[in-house]
Amino acid sequence: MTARKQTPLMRQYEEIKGQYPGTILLFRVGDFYETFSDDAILVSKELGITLTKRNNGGDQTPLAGFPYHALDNYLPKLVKRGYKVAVCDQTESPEEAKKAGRKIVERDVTEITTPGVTLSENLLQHNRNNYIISLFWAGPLIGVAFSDISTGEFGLSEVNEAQLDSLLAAIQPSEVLIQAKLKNKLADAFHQFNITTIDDWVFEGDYGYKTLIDHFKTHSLKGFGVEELEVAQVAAGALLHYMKETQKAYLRHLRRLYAYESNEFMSLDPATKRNLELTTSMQEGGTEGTLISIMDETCTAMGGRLLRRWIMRPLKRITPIQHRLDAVDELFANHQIRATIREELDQIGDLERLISRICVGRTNARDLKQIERSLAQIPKVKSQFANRETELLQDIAKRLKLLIEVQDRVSKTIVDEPPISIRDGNMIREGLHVELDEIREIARNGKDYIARIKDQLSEESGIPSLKIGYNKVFGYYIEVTNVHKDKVPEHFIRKQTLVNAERYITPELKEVEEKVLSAEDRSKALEYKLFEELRLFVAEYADDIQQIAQALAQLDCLQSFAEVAFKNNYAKPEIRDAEHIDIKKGRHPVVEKSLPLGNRLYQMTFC
Amino acid sequence: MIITGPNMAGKSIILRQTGLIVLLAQVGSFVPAESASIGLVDKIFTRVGASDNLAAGESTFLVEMNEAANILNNATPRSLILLDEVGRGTSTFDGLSIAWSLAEYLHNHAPVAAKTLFATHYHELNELEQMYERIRNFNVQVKEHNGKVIFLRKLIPGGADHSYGIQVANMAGLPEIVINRAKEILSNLESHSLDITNSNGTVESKAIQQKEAAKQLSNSIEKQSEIEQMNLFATHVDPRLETLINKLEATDPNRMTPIEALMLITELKRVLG
Repeated sequence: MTARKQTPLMRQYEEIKGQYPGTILLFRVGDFYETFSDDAILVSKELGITLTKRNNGGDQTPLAGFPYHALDNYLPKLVKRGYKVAVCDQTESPEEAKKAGRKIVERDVTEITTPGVTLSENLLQHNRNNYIISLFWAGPLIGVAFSDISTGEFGLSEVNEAQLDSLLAAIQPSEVLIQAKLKNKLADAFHQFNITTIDDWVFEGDYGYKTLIDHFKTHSLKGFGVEELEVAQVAAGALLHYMKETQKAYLRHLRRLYAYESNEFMSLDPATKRNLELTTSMQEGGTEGTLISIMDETCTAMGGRLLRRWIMRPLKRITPIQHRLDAVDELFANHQIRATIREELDQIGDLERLISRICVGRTNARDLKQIERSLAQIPKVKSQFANRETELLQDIAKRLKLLIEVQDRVSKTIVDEPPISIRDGNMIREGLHVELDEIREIARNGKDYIARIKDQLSEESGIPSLKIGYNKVFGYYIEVTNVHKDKVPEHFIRKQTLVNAERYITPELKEVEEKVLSAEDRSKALEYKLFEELRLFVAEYADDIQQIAQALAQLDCLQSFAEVAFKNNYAKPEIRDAEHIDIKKGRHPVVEKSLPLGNRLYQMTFC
Repeated sequence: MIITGPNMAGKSIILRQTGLIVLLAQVGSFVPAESASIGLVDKIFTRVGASDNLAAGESTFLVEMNEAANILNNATPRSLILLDEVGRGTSTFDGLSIAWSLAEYLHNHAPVAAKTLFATHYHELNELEQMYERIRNFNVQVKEHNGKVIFLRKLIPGGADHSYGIQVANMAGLPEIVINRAKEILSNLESHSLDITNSNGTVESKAIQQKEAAKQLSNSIEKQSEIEQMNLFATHVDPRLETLINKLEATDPNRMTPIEALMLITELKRVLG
């Protein structure tokens, strides 16, 4: 630190900035988010905003900022370019700071958004998972853990160097975590990824294991079937550590770990995925002309994401393939059922991401309402195929649990069209909470209420000309003209004497005044409290909702296959445990869409 | 399975569609075909085209060989391998030799004897069918009509006799003077038929005999005039012509922008002096 005298604000800034190396710090000052020094130069260039200077104890510090309401616009832009961004807010009001004798308000980082860890709808694509992956090298073995915090998925695996490429190609992480000491030793191939380094100690000892059992509140990881994956646990611990650090919240929607088994799936190397243009085209990296662009007839965001995962990881064993094919066949043959299922699925929201936001607390009443409406669709979906014969469809129906209690409670609590903000009231229904109704009544009808008190007092005391007035010095008061002075009841407290009248207050009137004046604030606060209660209640069902979302996603993928097969005239393949591949009049699924009919038939048989 | 056929006839599409159909089947989807019976596949490998990864700064040929090495090291008999124009990134003779030995390796080596679709415009590779039991030739059918090529987009058994590269170049709009000159060069080269067997010491003598017979057969089919045999690496062709052919063969008009085509023409003219 230099000897120059800094302003208190800049001292606070430097202190907080020092805690988040490698991160752009957006520092809330009044109605602006400001950046200073190198951050300012970078941000002004990336966002095209003006770079100015700020006097800092005689020094000129570069400064660039934008109004606080532009955060949703600017923050995603920075993160999309691969930067990590910490938002530092004022954690108290100027009044509170003054009371506590501080010259400047307290500030703290409330959330860090990184390419791989975000719940922001502005950054996520609805039909694509956003994975972060953590790698730990232990000799020839590499421990791998990956998560999509927006859906609550958390997988572990252990691979060798050769399998790692294929795994990375399957997961396509937005961010890769590695030990700090490996930073300069990485192979060139890694530089295509967004690398974040983590302090070495996080990867040492049993810190990772402890972090995991602490989070999952278990004694071991046996229940997840990953107890043996010791190297992967280290990577998983570091990943959880990082996600907690950035989100600044308890990630209660991360409910389970699972072992990501490469052996169950067909192996596709990165070149093959590229060459076959499964999800990205070789031309521009877009989705035009890709397999997924033809195959995606899913109706929900969960289904869209699962379809991508399925296509990137074909199966290798006959039984599960046959199960899927039979389910597709059934949905293919029953057009009416498929059409109805599609209609019902269309109205289901992104349950995985909704429940993630609800668990972490970055949510609002609209999200809860979406959960309610989506859950309400489930009986309708289920009734369409519950009696079907196929094993997989039966299994899905079984997993589509009805959460009537969640649906009911949200429906009873939240109004039909709630606002976006959770701090400004108007979310909670009338008639739910006695105190809230009362406060609202007071806030809304403050004047009427005072008028009623006036009538009441005037009747009790027999003073017809009794008035209730208001001034800034002592709030609501009762005014009695000198003519009726002798009728004033004893409990009136005299406050002021005028030429021809006296002004009084009563404890009751003060109570009412307090109620009226603060009613609005109090009703907002109470609504927020009730909302929080409901949010935590729903969050308790995270596990169930995630399972329902998974079952819906599977159903959606299967109906999508059936729909595509119907539209494009596909045939059910026969899968055998044999050497031969025999394709009669095969067509290229993408090319057939762009070539005239007679021009696209190839007949082939080979072994 | 070796697929021959001219450029633009759709060899690459056949390769890709086979990969995609197998993949879709194992994902659990129906497939774009009249019917399909799929023997389970554990891995799919592709080596398609020569244009990707140029941005990474590696030479095309190096990328190609890296990927080929990956395939040979990791394939199993249950794998599906799709090879498109392997060897096109280097000179004709090098490329042909590599393609040839790759095909042999994939056939002979039990641990990697995978199902392989090998698309090539080296119709010399068709001779492998005569030598190896499990190698089959197919070709993408084309019709030649008034010197122009009509693509029928049908795959039929048997090898292609012709690469039609010059006709395709014509269709792509190369100036007539270049096309005519290329035709001259081609007929020159064709009269110096290539001999591959002599260069390959590892092939058993029986195979050599078989291949000799096959070669006779294919030569008679092609009605080529048998002139002196030419050793693979001892060429006495005008080096300028070889450069020209190499450049033309390494070119895929499908993947060229008009500017690239113009640049190629300029370059070809410069080679010719």
